Amino acid sequence: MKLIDIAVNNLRRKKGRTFFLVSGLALGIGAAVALTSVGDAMNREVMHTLDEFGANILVLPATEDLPLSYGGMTVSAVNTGGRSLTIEDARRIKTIKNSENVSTVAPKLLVVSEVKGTKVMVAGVEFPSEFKLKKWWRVSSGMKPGGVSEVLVGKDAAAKLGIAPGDTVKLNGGTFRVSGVLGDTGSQDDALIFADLATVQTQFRKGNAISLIELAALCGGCPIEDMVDQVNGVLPGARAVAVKETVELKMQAMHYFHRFSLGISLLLLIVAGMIIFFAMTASVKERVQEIGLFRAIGFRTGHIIQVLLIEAFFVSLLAGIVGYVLGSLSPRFIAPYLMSAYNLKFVFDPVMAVSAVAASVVVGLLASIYPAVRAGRLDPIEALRTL
Amino acid sequence: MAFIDLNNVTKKFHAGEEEYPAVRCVSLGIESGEFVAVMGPSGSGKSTLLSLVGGLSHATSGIVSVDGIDLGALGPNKLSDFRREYLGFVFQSFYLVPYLTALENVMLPLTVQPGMNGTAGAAAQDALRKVGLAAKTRRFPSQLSGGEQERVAIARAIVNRPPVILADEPTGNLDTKTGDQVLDMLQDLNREGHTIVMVTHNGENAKRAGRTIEIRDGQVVSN
Repeated sequence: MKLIDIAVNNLRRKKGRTFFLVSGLALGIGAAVALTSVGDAMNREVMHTLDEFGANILVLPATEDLPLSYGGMTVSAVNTGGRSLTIEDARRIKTIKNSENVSTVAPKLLVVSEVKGTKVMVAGVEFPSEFKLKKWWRVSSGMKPGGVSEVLVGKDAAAKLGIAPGDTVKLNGGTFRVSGVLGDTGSQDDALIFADLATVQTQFRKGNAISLIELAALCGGCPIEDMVDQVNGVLPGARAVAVKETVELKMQAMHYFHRFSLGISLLLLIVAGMIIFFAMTASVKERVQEIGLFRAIGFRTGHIIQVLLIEAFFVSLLAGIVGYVLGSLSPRFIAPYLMSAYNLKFVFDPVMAVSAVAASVVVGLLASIYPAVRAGRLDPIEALRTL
Repeated sequence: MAFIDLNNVTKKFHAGEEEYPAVRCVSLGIESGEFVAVMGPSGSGKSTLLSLVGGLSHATSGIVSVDGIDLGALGPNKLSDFRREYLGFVFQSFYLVPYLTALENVMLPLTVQPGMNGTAGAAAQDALRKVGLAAKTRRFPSQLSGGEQERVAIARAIVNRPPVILADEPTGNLDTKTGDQVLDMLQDLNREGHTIVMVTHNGENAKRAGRTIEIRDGQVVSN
């Protein structure tokens, strides 16, 4: 029999106490694991949503001109000559290495037209991708354009031009039906008329030219700079730029989530450590006579500390394993309430498993050091009061 | 100098502000191979005397030595080693570890004895056979009678073959018949060469010893 046998026998034969200790720590570890993995999944979902929300990469013709403002949309490039982008360029973006990260490609052709004697900017867009990109778009009256000869009018343009859904407008000689008016967007979209891209190209005799491409890239896992480089690689005549503010905002949001779950996990570990600390202290009190006996028959202070720390080690090792399993299984039941799409499969995550067990052992041992040292230093005569 | 030697030993305890001496200026010697009973009413200081000889507490003044070793000069760890090498304790309330079997309880002193790993089991079996419990080695303390528990405690005290056995009221929790058996056992161990110091307040028990030291109010009144 060795010291380890004393510790193991104590744990084995006081099942209730061992169960309490293990479950106390395991709950803490499990909650931390669950929180981290749910937090990660939520992070991914939030990132995904944020990534799809507006463009984070802009592709412009390679030109010396400074772009005129419209959230980066430049009008000048098409009009001032130089090589313009074509619809083929937009298709080619799908061939970049990280193409699966490209969630939306929204090519645009910007032209100027005259309606009822007022100059107005017309944007030729592909409506499905435009609506996907601009999730904040609401059609306030009428409906989304249904056919190629239907247009969507910005709120201010509709007011200025005095047009309503159902009206027809003439754009460069072509007749278009107004299917709907956009709600207030607070952007320059309010002053635009949106029409089908191919129709605008034909009507304004632009061939297959486009003015710019807006991209929504899912950059949860990849640095946006890589994506920009890849786009520049397949489009030599173009200039792709990252919309930095959007990216940084997303990163910040991710960091908040990350820090939040990290903070709560830490708190849980501290609480679990305190449970172990109090349970160990109580256990030492309860075993005062036993410890006194150990001292009387020749155990050194170090031997007593060893026995108690070996116990703490096994308890926290077991708690770490149980906690990891509990924590990885529980998101299956929690996640559906928190988010729409979550992968419900149990995936063994070795990094998480090792971290959980390591955290458990570290917390368990740290919390036990003080009670163990105090036990080791117990005066045997105090412990064995009858002598 | 005797094998166990107390030279002008005083042990004081503090109770709040007050200080009271449990043992006062005691000098006595016990030779190797003796069976000595220490008698006295409760509170007379006999148990304190035993704890001093057992290296469980230090004397306030005076010198306690065993086999020429000055116990007052030993630090906590050396004192632990001394107890392991020299002493076997038998307590009134047995102090068996509840979650260990009889055999494991007897093996306890050997777990911290260097070089005993291979032979500890056999030594513990031997000790249990000597106290007549060879058949109950796998029982837990709660599954043993009071007399059997005391015998396990004696087996534990002798398993490391210590020169000295210190017994504190070994029959205090036992009926007369079982108590007699325990005393027989102690006499047998004494004949085998163990020096035995037994604290008791029972005169009948004291008669089993070769010598009786009487203590009253912390002082030796007859030796």
